[in-house]
Amino acid sequence: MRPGLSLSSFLSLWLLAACQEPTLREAHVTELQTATFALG
Amino acid sequence: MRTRVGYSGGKQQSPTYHDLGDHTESIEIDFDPAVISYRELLDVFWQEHSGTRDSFSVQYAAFVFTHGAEQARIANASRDERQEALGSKITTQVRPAGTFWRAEDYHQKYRLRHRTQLMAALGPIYGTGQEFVDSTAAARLNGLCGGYGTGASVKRELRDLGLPDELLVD
Repeated sequence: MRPGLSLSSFLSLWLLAACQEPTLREAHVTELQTATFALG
Repeated sequence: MRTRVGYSGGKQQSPTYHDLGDHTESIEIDFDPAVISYRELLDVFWQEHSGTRDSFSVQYAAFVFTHGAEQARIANASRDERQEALGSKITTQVRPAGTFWRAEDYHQKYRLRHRTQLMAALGPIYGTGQEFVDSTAAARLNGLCGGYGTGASVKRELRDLGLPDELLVD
């Protein structure tokens, strides 16, 4: 992280990246599985 | 990974928060087994609750709801290992998953919903309904808003998303 870059700025950058989520992160995903938990 | 909270384990149709019936509050997770295994999710689950106390109510009981025989085998094995490691009886039950009823929107991504600026930024991308709740971005940001993760872990996220190197200069 750049010196002085605040977490909020970093989150904004991350959000920018998240806009590309469907093409960048999940393009390779062929099969998701499901898990269900109850933590009590 | 995508997450949503809801109600499961019971027989009542269309439960709500104020009319839960015989259901238990639970979380449903869609995960990519190429990135994280079911066993790794179970390890987190056992770390995040005691598993040895009796539940005060059905609403707040502890369960592993399994999807298929393989999950049941892994979950039972991990419970037995946990029990042996603790030296105490595990009261958390492992049982087959039934219908998962989604909780009302105001319960979903609860921490993130209170971050007005982030919600305003996410709105045009995902809206505020099911697409928002089910997005990977919302799940991860909700975790960060809840105090999970660090600046370093966010940086790793950025790398994983494949952003240009110039955005990642130290």
